[in-house]
Amino acid sequence: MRVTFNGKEDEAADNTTLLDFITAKGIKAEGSAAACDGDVVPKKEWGSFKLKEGMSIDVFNLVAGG
Amino acid sequence: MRYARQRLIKEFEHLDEILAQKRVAVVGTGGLGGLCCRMLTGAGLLHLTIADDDVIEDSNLHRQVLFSEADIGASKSACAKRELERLDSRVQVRTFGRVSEDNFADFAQGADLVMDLSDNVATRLLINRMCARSRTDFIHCSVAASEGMLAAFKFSDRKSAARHGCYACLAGADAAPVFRGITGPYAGAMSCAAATLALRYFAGEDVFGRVWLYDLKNQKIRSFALHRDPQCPDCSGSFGN
Repeated sequence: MRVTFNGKEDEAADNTTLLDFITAKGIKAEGSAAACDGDVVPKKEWGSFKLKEGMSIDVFNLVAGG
Repeated sequence: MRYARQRLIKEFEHLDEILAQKRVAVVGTGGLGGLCCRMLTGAGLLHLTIADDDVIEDSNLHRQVLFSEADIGASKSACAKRELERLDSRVQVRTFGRVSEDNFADFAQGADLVMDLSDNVATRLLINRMCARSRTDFIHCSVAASEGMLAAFKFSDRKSAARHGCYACLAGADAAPVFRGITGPYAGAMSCAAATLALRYFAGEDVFGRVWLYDLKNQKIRSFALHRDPQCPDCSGSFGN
């Protein structure tokens, strides 16, 4: 299915979870956060959160410096 | 006369009068906290509590605008207080070193808003947890390389907090962001973003429940709605299910 990943068109297999998708991108969960269709998805829900056709997925770094 | 230009901005017409009655507690007086405190004091805030247990080093001076070479080796919080008092002789600044669970209540006493402008994730998680427990409104701001993050949590409003959660809901209690360096303009941009959010909050705008991600290199901002993790160890005890 077609999805948007960080603003660019991408693809994900049916029944893919957010965790599957992020892992396949080589992104570590630690130090990252994710949002789907504009809503942050708590990290504990990534493994059960199913992606949907047309969904917009944003993964971003948790910066902590100052 | 001091606030005449600020009062020309409609939403900030009465801001200096409002700020004069408020107290903000700021963790960190370095790259983010220093300029932010200066901006808030300049806008009319007269009661600040600032915490920083670091001393000034030469490697701070490229981005930490409250300090200069003569301050190297001195306490950041003491020098920040001095500079804020130079800006406005009316300002009353309480200083702290390291904020801990033991002294947080004293640090946040009377604060309408706590701002976490520190430089490490352990402090950020601690401040978040203590603000949630004490139901003190909380702004988080961070920066690394050309990326910045800003988020606001209305812990004084149980309904808002139950919906949007806390910083740990976003970051995870085991967050381990990578240290990637920093430069003055990027830190300054995020300082001003944090100060602006605080001013909007005091002007009565609902700024809560969102996270803003700043791509400072390409000047792009993304924003997302925050959602509580029902099992969050840091806020579930305070705001329930």
